[in-house]
Formats: sequence, C-alpha cells, structure tokens
Amino acid sequence: MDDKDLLKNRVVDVFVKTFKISAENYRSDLQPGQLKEWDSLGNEILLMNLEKEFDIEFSEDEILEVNTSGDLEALILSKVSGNESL
Amino acid sequence: MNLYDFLLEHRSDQPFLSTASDIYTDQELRCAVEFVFQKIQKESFPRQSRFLLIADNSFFWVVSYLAIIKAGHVVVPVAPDTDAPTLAFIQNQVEPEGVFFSDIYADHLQKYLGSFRISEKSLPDQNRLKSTDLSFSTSVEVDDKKDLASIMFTSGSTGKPKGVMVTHRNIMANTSDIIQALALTESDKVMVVLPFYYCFGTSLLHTHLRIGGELCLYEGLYSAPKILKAMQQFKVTGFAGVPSHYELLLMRMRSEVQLPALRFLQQAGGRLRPESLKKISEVFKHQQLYVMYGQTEATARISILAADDFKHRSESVGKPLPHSQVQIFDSRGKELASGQEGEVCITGDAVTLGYWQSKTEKNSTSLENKSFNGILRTGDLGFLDKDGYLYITGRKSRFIKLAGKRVSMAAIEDAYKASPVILDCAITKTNHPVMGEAVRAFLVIDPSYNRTQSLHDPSEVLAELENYIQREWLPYQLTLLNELPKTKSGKIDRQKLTSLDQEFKNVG
Repeated sequence: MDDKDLLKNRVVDVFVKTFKISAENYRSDLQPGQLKEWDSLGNEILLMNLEKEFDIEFSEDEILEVNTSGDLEALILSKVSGNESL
Repeated sequence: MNLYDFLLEHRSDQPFLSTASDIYTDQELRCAVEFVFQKIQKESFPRQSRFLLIADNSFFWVVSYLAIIKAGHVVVPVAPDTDAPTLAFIQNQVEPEGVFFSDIYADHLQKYLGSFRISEKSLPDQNRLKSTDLSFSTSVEVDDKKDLASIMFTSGSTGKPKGVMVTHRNIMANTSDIIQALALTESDKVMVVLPFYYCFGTSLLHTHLRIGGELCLYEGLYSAPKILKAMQQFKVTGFAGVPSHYELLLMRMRSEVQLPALRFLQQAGGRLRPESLKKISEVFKHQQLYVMYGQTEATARISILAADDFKHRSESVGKPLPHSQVQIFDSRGKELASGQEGEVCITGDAVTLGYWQSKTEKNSTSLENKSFNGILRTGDLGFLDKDGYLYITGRKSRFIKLAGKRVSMAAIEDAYKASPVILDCAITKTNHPVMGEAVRAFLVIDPSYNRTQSLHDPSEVLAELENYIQREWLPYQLTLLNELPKTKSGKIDRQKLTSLDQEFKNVG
C-alpha cells in the first residue's frame, strides 16, 4: 500500500465517522446531497474533521474548487505531500 | 387591488431575477405570467381555487405564483422535499384544482398530479418571451381584504402543518412596511438563500418586486466561501438569512469580507446567539444589520430592529411595523403596561385570516375556531419597553418545572447557547423519579470548542457545562447530535426531536 492509498484510507475514515456511513459506501465521486448528512452544516463539520485529522487548514479559494469527495482527496494529497509526516 | 398589480406597479423592463446562468427581465416575467394566466383562465375554475406549487426557487416558481394570484386563485407553496404523508395531508386539506411543479419532481409527484398540471416544460422558451407584441390581460378583480392570495403551510414544528390564509391586503400591507423600515430602493439587489415557500423568502420576493429591485438566486450547497463569492459576483446590496445561515458564515470566514456593494443584512427566523450576533456586526462592520421578528400568521415580519438601534438594544427585536400593532396581554386577556411580560398579540392589516379548514373540519361540530378575528395570539412571550421596543422572552406553552420553579425552556436554551461549549440546542421535558420533571437536552457541541477540548462523551460534556449552567438547569438526559433536526425554514423540528430514537444517557 503506497502513501496515496494510506492517505485515502484516512479520508474515508473521516467520512465514515462524520456521516456515519460504512466504508463500502464511500466512493470518490460522492457529492453533497448524495449522503443524507452531507448538507451545509455536515460539510463544515467534514472540513473541520479533515483539517484536524491532517493538521492542515483549507483556504477559501481551495474550498471553492471542491465539488466531490475525490476533489477533497486530491486537495489533501497536494497539501500534505510537502509535509514529512503522512 | 389584485396583489399582482401592486407588485409590478413600478416595474418597467429591468432585470428582476438573476440565476448563475440566466437573467430575466420584467417584460419576460409579464409575458410568461400572461401565458400561464391564459392557460388557467381557459379552464374556468371556480373562484378562489387552490393550486399547489412544488418547485425550488426559480423563474418558474415566480411565474407560477404570480399567474395564480393574477387569476384570483390561491397559491399553496409546498417544499419540494415534503414527505408523502404530509403532502397527502396538505392535498386533502386544500383540495387543489391543479399542480405547478418542477419537472425533476415529476416521478415523486406522479400520484398527486391531477388533470391540470403545469411544469417548467410548459413555459415558452426565453426567446419567445422577449416578443413585445403580446397584449396583457387585466388581472381578475378581488376583494383584497377577504380574498386569499396564498395558503402558507407553517413548518409544523409541533404537530400537523397548518395552512395560514394570507389575503392580498395582508401582503400589500406587510410589503410596504418592510420596504419603509429597510429603506429599500430600486437599486437594491438581494441574495436569496431562503426558499420562496417560506414566508421570509416570499417577503424578499414581494419587497424587491414592488420596489423595482432585483433578486439573485443562490443554488447549490450553502458554504461561506461559495456564498461570499456569489455575493461578490452578483454585486448584491442585501442578504437575508435565519440563524443557521449566519452561524455557517462565521464558521469559515478567515479573511475580511470585500463586499463594497453590500449595504444591509436581514436576520430573522429565531434568535441568533448573542456572541454570533456580535461577531456578525463586527465582520460586516460597513453593513447595516436588521434583526427582525415575524410569523407566517402575521404574513411575514412583525417588528424590525433598525440598524442604528442595534448597538444599544441588541436584545430587542425592534419596533412593531405600522400594520402589525403589538399589545401584550396576560393570561386573563388584560392588556399589560410596558415592561410587563405577557403574550405578544398582534392586530392590523398584516394579521392573516386564520388557519385553513378542510370541508370536513368546517362541518364538524368541534368548537375549535381557527380564524383569528383580527387579533393574532402569537404564543410568544415578551414585553414592550417604555420606548415601544419589543423583546421576546420565550414561548407560552414551553415551560418546565424545576425545583419547584416554572422555567421557560427558551431561557434554558439561551443559557446553554450562551456557553462557549454549545453551538445549538433544544430542550424538552422528561420525567424524573424524584424531581418530577427534569431537563432532557439535545446538544450540538460548538466545533471550535470541540477542537481544543475534544468532547465526545456525554459525561465529559456535562462536566464542562457545570462551569456555565446553574445546577437545576443541567440535563438529566443528554443526547449529543451533529446537528438538530430542522425544518426547511431553519426552525427546530420538535416533532422529529421527540421521535428521535437516539440513545441518550442519564447523566443527572
């Protein structure tokens, strides 16, 4: 398992905990509204949980570009790839 | 006067509605309304027939709403995600002659659609709407004091939804009052995130149509960066939201807002936490903040706290509007002097006729009278100060007996929300083996507090709360939630709350 997979597993884990879904229901093309709990407030909680998990902070511009769960994976990968501790 | 003529009286051919992809002008609106109006008139429905309108905010919504009103009939706006039993209930109540709906809901609505149905597809395309050779029919004459323009179903935060009967006069009176209180002008352009089927949303439509202003529709997930970007792009002068809209904005506003066009903010639909209200007034320091109080039963808005008054009276919901006079009554119906707390009652042209009754309800021998007879008992408790400012202190029916004292549950909720631990909460009663009654709390932990403390366990939360809440008010039963169940209009869905089959913990 490479770093990318490890990172994705951690993202999935945050989704599972935040939205109380099972890991099998995670896909990289999930969009807000497709999960019952992924509404406006759910989205804020998700972002905060991801920031906490990866010790990063999303900027407003970055959030503007996020439309799917896959976008979040890519964004997090790009943000932590510079860090040593994956 | 028919409400349609009142709303379009001062419009010529300006843009009235913008979406992310389209701009619609007054002339396009008039043409589309005419088209739908003629379809309705062809059927010779009986006077004041009811029509369901089930669509998201859109050009189609506005056209349908206005065409039904122009034809002297009654619009019944319904939230598109209304569940099947509620939809069946509403249909049973109002016995509609037809349904106006967005095509995307066609499958979901199949069994409710009778023979008269109009969807987005029935509208001519935008190019044909530009033709100016169309002659416009005169609106159907109405008795504006008696005839209904709409039946607005209240969110039903307790029990079954109730259909509020709103007359043409109600809307005209309330619309004029709001325009005056907010000093709206034809250059105002409001960002709409509230649904039009909710009275706060419809009031944005009414006021901006009447004044010759513009509405910009926000589509998609509500998140601070996206909504702020949209406000920049549309160059809106106004924004309106319920407490959750403002809380969500505050959660992710990192940099100072650059919105030179933005002139004012409207906040209604419940009380915003005092510290959030303060933050909003700091973040938007160049904008005027209007805090308002209202009820569907009084058309939309009852009182507005002028931006200039906010500094010194931030606890107040402002001064009553001219067509919504406020009096405070005690439980025996005696009017109370200023400073004394009692039930907030409203009289004036903005007071609606009452709740709609189905045929069977009308024929039943039950003595329950659902009309207001000119005086609306809001069920809210409050007082007027000596200068005529209104303060809301709680709900009449929501009391709990704690250690022998009758306490308003709203006061307890306020105390919880005032602590840094809690973002949102709802209190209900539960039985206590010794005390009789005790607090059951549904709590949403403030994520920014949680960030430093990591609160997951109810007993840890209780330990934190002990620092901020007096002992008798602490929860006996506690449920932690990611968010409270809310109705579409942002109010706590108390019916759903009581049915929440979540595990709770006896902590008291």
